[in-house]
Amino acid sequence: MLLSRRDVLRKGIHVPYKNLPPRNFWKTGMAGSQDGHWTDLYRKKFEITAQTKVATAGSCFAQHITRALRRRGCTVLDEEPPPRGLIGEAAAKYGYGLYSARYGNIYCVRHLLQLTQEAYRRFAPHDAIWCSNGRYFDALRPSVEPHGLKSPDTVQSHRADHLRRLKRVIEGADVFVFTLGLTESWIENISGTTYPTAPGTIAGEFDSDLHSFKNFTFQEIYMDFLKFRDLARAKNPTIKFLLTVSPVPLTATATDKHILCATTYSKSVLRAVAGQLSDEFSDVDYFPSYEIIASPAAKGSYYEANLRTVTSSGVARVMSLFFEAHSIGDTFERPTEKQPATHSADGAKQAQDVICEEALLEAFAR
Amino acid sequence: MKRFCIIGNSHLAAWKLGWDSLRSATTGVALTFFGASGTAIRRLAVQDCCLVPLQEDLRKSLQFTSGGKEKIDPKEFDSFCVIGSAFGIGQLARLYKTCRAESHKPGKRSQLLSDDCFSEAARGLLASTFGFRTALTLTEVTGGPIHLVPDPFPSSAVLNDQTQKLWTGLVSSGDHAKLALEFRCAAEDLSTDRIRVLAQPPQLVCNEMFTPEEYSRGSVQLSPGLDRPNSAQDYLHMNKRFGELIIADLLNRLE
Repeated sequence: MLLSRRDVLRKGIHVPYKNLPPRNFWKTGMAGSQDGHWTDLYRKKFEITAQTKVATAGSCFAQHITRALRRRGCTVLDEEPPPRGLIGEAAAKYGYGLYSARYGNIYCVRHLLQLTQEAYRRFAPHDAIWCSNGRYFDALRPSVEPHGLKSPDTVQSHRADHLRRLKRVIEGADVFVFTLGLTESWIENISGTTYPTAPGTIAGEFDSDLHSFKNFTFQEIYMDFLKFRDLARAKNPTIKFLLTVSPVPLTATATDKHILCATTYSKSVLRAVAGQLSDEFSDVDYFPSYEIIASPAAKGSYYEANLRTVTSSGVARVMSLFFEAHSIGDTFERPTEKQPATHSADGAKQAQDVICEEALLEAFAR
Repeated sequence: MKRFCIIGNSHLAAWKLGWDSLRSATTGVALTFFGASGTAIRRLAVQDCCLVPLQEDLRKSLQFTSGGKEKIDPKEFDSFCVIGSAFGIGQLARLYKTCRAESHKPGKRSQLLSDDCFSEAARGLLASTFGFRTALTLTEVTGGPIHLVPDPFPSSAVLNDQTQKLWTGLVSSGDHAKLALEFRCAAEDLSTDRIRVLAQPPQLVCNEMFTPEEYSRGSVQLSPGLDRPNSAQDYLHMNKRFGELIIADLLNRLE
């Protein structure tokens, strides 16, 4: 016979859920909250203040995070700043100001690991210079020079300069904020060099003998992050990590799955890795930006009409909860008439105003 | 009578001296100067379709340079010319000091940029100068032609001064010609149907990006009397003769 809550209380039966707070129940933690303003959603593991030296990297959603942190007056490292005279969109076009160095979007943890290993001479990428129309591109950050460079040597010089600056990011950061974006990637077969874009998308040429598709597993991503963490901590013993998962669905999948199933798989794996790392290590925290945007409680309102691009109000919601938790600046402002939680042309403009190589794949949709 | 409005900063001194010397022999042209040293002309604002000074010092300086006018009324002029005001190769030289493009000789501590990126930064720097901004402001109040005459190239005398490492280094690396070309291209890119950037006349240029020393000797400050000489180490300001030649060139080109 099913006991009622009253019976349980009267008879003093011990039930492990009995004294749990409202946040532990869907009814009170989610369904009962007004306008999706959930309380106590995130409990920080460590303090981040406006003075904390934050490094940022990750998939294109991380650009929103970087921008919001800077706007709020947080100390976001920029070890590869734009030259004088290059500001705003012109700087972003060359990959400046998007993150703490000019590495472009880093969608996969393997890419982050290899980049860091390369900076400390523990990894040498193969087929890392691509050619297109007589110009040469850094295959590991192909979008930072829209017109490429004049020679392979120049690409190498620029990359060496970039790696020197990346070391300063790793060694200077108090907190490294990384947004996990994708499990799917394209790699070079011999060395395993992981590219941020498929060969041929921006530059280079796909060669089935040289390149192959890789869908990273939980175990691989988990181990890659641990290796990255070990290397970063070897260079900067007090560095901490804040992980988020991008709520932006895949533009395209190279698996044989439907894009929805591929997206769900990818985000599930990334979320599970982030959760595992966060549960396991005191220096790794997880911030639920994915949940805020993608949960059923948001009813899809934080996505633009393409069901992929996160609205500016969605980004604002994520960041306000983050700032609120860390007591940085203003507390959360509910969406106003000027910033409605609905689809808007202005919102779309702002939200899409990020550099995203993965979105280029949309051009291949028939 | 063609009426020219000449707006500028300290470089106006050479122009004014040059015009004083040319005026009697030049017919059908009137030049009125509006200027102030340093960056003061940034404090010109649009009010009732005129450019008016927002600061008392600037008002006084406009009075002194124009011979009594306290504001610039575009209706009184047929053509406009903005002089120097930081729009010059010095901007690119300072960029070069910290950043090198792929086609430049590598610097030990310089940030590496692609040629495209360097060019875009150069354009951005020039577009942000108060000379270019003043020209843009003029487009709001007049439909007349607007010319922008860059800061003079530095005097070639700078190359004999070993303390001026930026300029001497540019020449010894061979990058000065590239920087001069970059400047010409940026100036061309920033020219529009309303604002035309004029190049320094070839007879006033030596070694790609310098002004022959003879045109910098005896330059004076833009102050009442126009008789206070600049220091011997001032390689950026030019003299009366330079003023004569550049005005003659301007009038020649506009004809």
